[in-house]
Amino acid sequence: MVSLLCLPTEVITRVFCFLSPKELASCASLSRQFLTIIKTSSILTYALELKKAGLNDTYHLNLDLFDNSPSELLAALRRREQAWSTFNWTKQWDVPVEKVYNNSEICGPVFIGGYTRQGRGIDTIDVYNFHDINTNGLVTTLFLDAPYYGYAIDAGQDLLVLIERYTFESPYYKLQLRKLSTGLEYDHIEIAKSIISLKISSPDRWRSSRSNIQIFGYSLFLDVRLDQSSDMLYLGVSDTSPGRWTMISETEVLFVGYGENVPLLKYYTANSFSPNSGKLEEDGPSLDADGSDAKSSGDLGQVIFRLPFRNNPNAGLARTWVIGLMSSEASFTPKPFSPFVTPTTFVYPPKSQIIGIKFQNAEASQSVFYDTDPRRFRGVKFEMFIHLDLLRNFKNEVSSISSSRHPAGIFAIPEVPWHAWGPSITRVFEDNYDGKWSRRCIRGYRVLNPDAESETPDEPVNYTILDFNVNSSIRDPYELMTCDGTEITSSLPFRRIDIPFSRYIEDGESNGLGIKTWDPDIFLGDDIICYLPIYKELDKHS
Amino acid sequence: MVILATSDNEQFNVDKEVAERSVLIKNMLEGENPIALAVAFVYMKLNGSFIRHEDVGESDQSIPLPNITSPVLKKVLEYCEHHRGEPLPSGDTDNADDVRKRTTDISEWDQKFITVDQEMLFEIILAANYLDIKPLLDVGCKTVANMIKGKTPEEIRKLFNIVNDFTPEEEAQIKKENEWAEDR
Repeated sequence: MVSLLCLPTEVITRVFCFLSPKELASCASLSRQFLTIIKTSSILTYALELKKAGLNDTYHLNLDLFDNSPSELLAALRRREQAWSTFNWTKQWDVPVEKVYNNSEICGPVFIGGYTRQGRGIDTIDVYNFHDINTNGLVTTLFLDAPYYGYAIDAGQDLLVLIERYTFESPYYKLQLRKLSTGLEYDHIEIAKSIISLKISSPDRWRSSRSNIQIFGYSLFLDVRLDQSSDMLYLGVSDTSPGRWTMISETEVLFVGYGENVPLLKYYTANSFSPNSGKLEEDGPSLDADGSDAKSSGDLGQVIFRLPFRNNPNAGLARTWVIGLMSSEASFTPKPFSPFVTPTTFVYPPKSQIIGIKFQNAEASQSVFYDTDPRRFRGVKFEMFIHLDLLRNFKNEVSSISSSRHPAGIFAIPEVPWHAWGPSITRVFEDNYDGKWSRRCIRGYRVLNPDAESETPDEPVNYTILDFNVNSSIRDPYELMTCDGTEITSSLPFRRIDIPFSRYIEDGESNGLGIKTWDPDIFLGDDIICYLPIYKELDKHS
Repeated sequence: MVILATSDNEQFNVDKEVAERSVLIKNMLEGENPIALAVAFVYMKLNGSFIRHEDVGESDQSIPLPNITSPVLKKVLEYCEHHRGEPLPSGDTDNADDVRKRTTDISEWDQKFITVDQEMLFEIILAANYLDIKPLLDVGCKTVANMIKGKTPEEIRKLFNIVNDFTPEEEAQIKKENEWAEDR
C-alpha cells in the first residue's frame, strides 16, 4: 500500500510548498517524520519563521505571508534581490526630516554618521537629535561632524536611511531613504517641509556595484565591494570588537568578533522550529579566519562564507560572500572597486563594546550592567536585540497603533506597548557633543521567555527594561544603569517597567544575579544585549 | 515508437513525443544524461537483457521502468498523451515558482484525471517523480496539498493513516509552538 509516508522527502516537501504557513504548522504536528521534514527544509522553515515573526506585506516581502506558500515567498525574495539591481540610484531627495520624525515611530537612530579621524564627534544621529539641537522645531544644522557614511535601519518602518559624504571636505551628504525590504525608495513618507535638502545622486562607485549591494535583513554591511575579476563580493564589517551579532535576515544571525585575537565569524540560523527554544543553531562551519590574514596593519581578514536564501538563481554569479573582518581601529585602504573608494585611508573606528547584559532583579543594589569593556570609551550606548519570537507581537500591535503626539509636544512617539517594539536594533544613546549631553531614543524590548530548563523556575524575578512611553527625563546617563527602583528620567519619554522574568543566568561569582561574561546563548535566546561604551569617563580624564 | 516495460512485464508502445514528456526517458533517448543511461543500463543488465548503452535509443529496445506498474504507467501515459505537444517546462525546475501557482490552479482536465484513489494518487506521484514529469508531479502534489488544506491535524492523520508518534509532552510543546497559527 503506497501512502503519503512512502513518498520521498523531497516530494513531501514539494507538497508542503503548496501549503500556507498555517497549514504547514498543522503538518508539523502530525508526526515526527513530518516535523523533521519541515524543520530540515530551509524554505519551509523560513516561511514558518517569517510568519511566526508576523511579517507581512507591509513590512517585508510585499506578500501576505499568511496566505502565501513558501514558493511564493521564495519568489518574493527573488523579487527583492531583483529590486536591488534595478534601484534608481540617481534620485534626488529632499529629506523630509520633520515628516520622518512625525509620521513614523522611528525609534532607532536614523542617521548614523561615522567617526572623525580624530576619533571624536558623533557616531550617530537620529531623528530625535534634530529636535534636541534646535529650538523651534526646525532643524537648522545637520549634525554630522565628519562622518563619512553610515546607515540606519528601522525595520519596523521598513526604512533604511543611508547617508554618505563624498569626501570629508565635501559639504554635501547623500541621504537615501529606502524600503528596507526591497531597497526601493520609501514611498510612504510625505514631504511636507524640507528642512535639509540633500542631494542624493549616484556616485559611480555605488553604481558600479549596485547590483551586488544587498541588505541582509536588518543590517547593511558597512563596506561592499565587488571584485569584478572574481565576482566575489566583499563585505566589510568594521564593528568587530570584541564581538557583534547582526541579524542578517529574519532567521539568520551573523556573529563577527574575535576569538583569541583571531577574527571570528559565525553564522547562525533560527532553524529551530520552536520559537521558545531560545537558541539559534550554528549552521555550517564556524569560520575562523586565518589569523595570518588579520593583520594589525588593517587589511581584511577574510573568510568565505555562503549565505543561504540568497543564492542568485539566475546569474552565474555565485553568491559567495567574502566577509572581511577588520580589526578594531585598524585602518585600511579600500580597494579600487570599493563603492566607498577614496584616495585616502580612513579609519574604521572602534565602535561599541558588548557588555554583559543583565537586568538584575529588583533586590539587587548593584548596577544593572556589567561592563566588560576595559577601555570605556565613547558614550553610554545600549543596544538591545531580541530573538525572533518577539517580533511576532510587534507587527500586529504596531499596526493598530495610531500615531500620537507626545504630551511633551515634541516627540511624535506613539504609545507603543513595550513588548511591541520593533525588531530592529534598539539603542539608548547618550552622547556628549561639545560638552553637552544629548539623548536619543531608546527602544526597549521585552525580556522574554522563562526557560523551561531553568533551575529556578519558581517565582519570577522582576527585571527592568526601559520604555519610552512616559515622559520623564534623564539627568545622568548613569541612571540608566540602575534598575533597582531608581527612577529613570529623561528628556525623552522614558519610563521603566518591570517585567516578570523567571529566568536568570547562574553566575558563580555573583550569586546568580547577573553575568560577568558575555554569553552568546543569553543574547541569542531571550535576553538583551547592550553595548555600553562610556566616554564620559574618557572626557573626565582628557 | 518507444517501448516501455513496466515492473509487471507489460510493454507499452508509446509515441516518442509522448514518452518524452518524461525528462528521464527523454534524456535516455537522447543519450544526454549519462546517469540515466547508466541507470537504465544497470537495470537492463539486471533484467538479463544485456545491451550496449548506445542501443538504448534504438526503438526496438524496450526501456525498463522497474518502479512502475502497468496500471500506473497507463495512467501516466494518459496524462502524457493529453499534454503532448505542450512546451516542456524549462530545465531549471527550481525557478518554476511562477508556474507553480496556487493549488487551485489545477486545470479541469487534470483535476478529473487525478481524481483517483489515494494509492493510485501516490503511485502517480512516485512515478512522476521517478520519470521526472514535473507538471504531473505538481498536479499530484497540489492534489495532496488540497487534501490537507482546511483539515485539522487529526483529520489529516486519519486521512493518510499517519500515526501520531509524539509523546504527550512533545505534542503539548508543538501545540504551544503553533499557537501563532491559530485564530487567524
